[in-house]
Amino acid sequence: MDLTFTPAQEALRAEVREWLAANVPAEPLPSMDTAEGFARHREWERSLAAARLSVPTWPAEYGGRGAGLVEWLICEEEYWASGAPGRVSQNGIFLLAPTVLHWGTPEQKARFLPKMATAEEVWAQAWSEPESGSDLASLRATATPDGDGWRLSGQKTWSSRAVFADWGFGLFRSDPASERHHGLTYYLFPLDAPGITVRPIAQLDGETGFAEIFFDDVYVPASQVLGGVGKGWSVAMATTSSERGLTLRSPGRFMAVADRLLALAAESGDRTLQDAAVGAWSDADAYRLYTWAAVARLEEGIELGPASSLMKTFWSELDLKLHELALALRGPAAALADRWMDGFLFALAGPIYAGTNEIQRNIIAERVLGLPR
Amino acid sequence: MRFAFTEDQRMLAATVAETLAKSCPPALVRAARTDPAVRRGDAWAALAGLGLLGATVPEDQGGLGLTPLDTVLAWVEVGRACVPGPLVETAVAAPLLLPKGSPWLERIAAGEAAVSVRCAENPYLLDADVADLLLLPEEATASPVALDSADGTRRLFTVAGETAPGGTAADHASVAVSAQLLGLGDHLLDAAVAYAAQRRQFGKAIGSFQAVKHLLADVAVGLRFAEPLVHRAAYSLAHPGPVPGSPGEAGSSQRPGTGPHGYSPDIARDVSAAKVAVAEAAHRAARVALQVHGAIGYTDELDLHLWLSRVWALVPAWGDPGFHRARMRAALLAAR
Repeated sequence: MDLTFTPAQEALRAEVREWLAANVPAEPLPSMDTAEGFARHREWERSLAAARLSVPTWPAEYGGRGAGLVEWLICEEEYWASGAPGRVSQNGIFLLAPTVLHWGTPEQKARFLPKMATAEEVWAQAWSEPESGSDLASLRATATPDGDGWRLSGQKTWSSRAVFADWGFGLFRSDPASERHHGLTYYLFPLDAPGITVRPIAQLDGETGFAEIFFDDVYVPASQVLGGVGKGWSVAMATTSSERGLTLRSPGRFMAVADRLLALAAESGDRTLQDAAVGAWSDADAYRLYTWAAVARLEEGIELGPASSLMKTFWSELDLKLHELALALRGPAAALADRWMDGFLFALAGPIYAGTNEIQRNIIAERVLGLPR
Repeated sequence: MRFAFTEDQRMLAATVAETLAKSCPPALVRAARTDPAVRRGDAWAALAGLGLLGATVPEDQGGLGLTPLDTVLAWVEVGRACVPGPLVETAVAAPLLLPKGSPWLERIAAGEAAVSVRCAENPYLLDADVADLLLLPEEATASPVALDSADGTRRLFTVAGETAPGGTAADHASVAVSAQLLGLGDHLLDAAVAYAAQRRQFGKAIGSFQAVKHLLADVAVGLRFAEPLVHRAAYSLAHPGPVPGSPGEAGSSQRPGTGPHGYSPDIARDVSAAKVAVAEAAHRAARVALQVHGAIGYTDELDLHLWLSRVWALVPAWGDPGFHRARMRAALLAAR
């Protein structure tokens, strides 16, 4: 076991810290769920890409640095500690990109990844349907063959930032006789394609972070099938494992919040809240250490698999705990619509998205512990 | 940076587990309640034979000269097997409290001596009735007085007089106890999962009910996220200095370890964080294991309670949660 970083890793840390100190906007950007905020966030992503910091683990040819996971964790720690904006490209770079890198054709990689890295094309996910949320395998949106391509029909919902995004990715039932997770195919489609209608849904904070997407006979060429016809479920599962585990929620994000929480706690005279804050900081630290151990296992070739459900349950409840304690420590100021309240509202979504925590606990029980279905 | 154990470290733990499967069956743990000799019996001899009792004793005194990082996985296995006796006191605390060159060290490494230790973090003398040596901060003014223990396989004693903090020895003992709590928790989770998979009610295995699944899933989450804290505490004991180039280094404006940048060991913070988290996770494992077993779990007939009462005995041992929470508060908030 070695918890020291190599000189090269320390040099990377210094470079990232220096660049962020010089470039992170002094004032927080407007919400990415508004037209102006989305544009400003896209601008920020472009400058990150110019510094080759938007996707450090990707191969250089697609805009990355070919960095390892430890280097990625360092970048993430520095990123969130600097107070840099949330990533408007996260659905693409953290959810879709690992899938494209694993399953995509060389043409697909060359066509989609570089523009994703620079946020020239921002992606929205299209998993859920009105009747298919946690039970994703029950989805009903269809894909029917048409010449060399496909026609998509049906409805998707809860698509984060689809109102402003450029492209979408999602699962459709390509075999009408199929049931459950069989006969599904993974498609990539431009959101301005003829036949697509995007309808915004206001979130509880009043902003249009969500959208419904309606598909009316939308043509998609065969080149926009990801991972093979009928293989959508296994392709998508690779994505959800990334989503729940390592890539979406790096520990740097929670350590930064936990450090800010300790600063609040230090000013408090409430010993009970102080102890709770110290405990929550330790939980964030535990998540960081668990992630380091997970990286070591990944480097040995062991996949995360259902262990990502342990991580998802833990980080989503950790995030909520950190923000709930912050509001308690802030006293009357907790009523203000500020950074802590924004963080709290976002944390509330954690136990819901990426598969609810009730579903995660079922996965842990059945696939980690081996309990009967 | 690589947060993983070496092949040797994993191998020692596997050997300890294999040996204890033979030398420490539940019937032996149970027998320790009535027969004092069991606490110095087969399992003790087996662990001495593997070198675990002398693991931290210097090599020139018959030990292996290993670090806490080398042995922490082995202590998890000692917990999983619920081994009775003053093992942590003898093998972990005593070698740090005894003067260099003490003849007791060779006797400990050989498995010939059992030691009981009293200090501020551990005011009760464990198993003084079978110990060859009592380590007290000052001369005891009276003979040890026996107290009833929450765990019938352990005997607790007290002596009059002041206690002083155990210092480094207490931190090392606390990490070994934390590792044992992890093993105890894992055993309780495994036992509950096995029982839930075979116990049928309403025509189905109770483990197929979502309410039961979610109880057990929460136990797994608690244990798995306490685990790296225990491993890291062992690392910090083995690497007590600041990491070169890290923010904890002299001259840095950032406090050790609390900043988001890099990592620096902080023994008080890391040992206490491990003990607090694993005590909570093991307690939850005990509560849920009992709940899943139902009334049969509440009986003396089933072995389950041997593990339950060991958890309740070790949660307050070598620093109760209140002590460790206070240390974390001091480490994380004092400089702010």
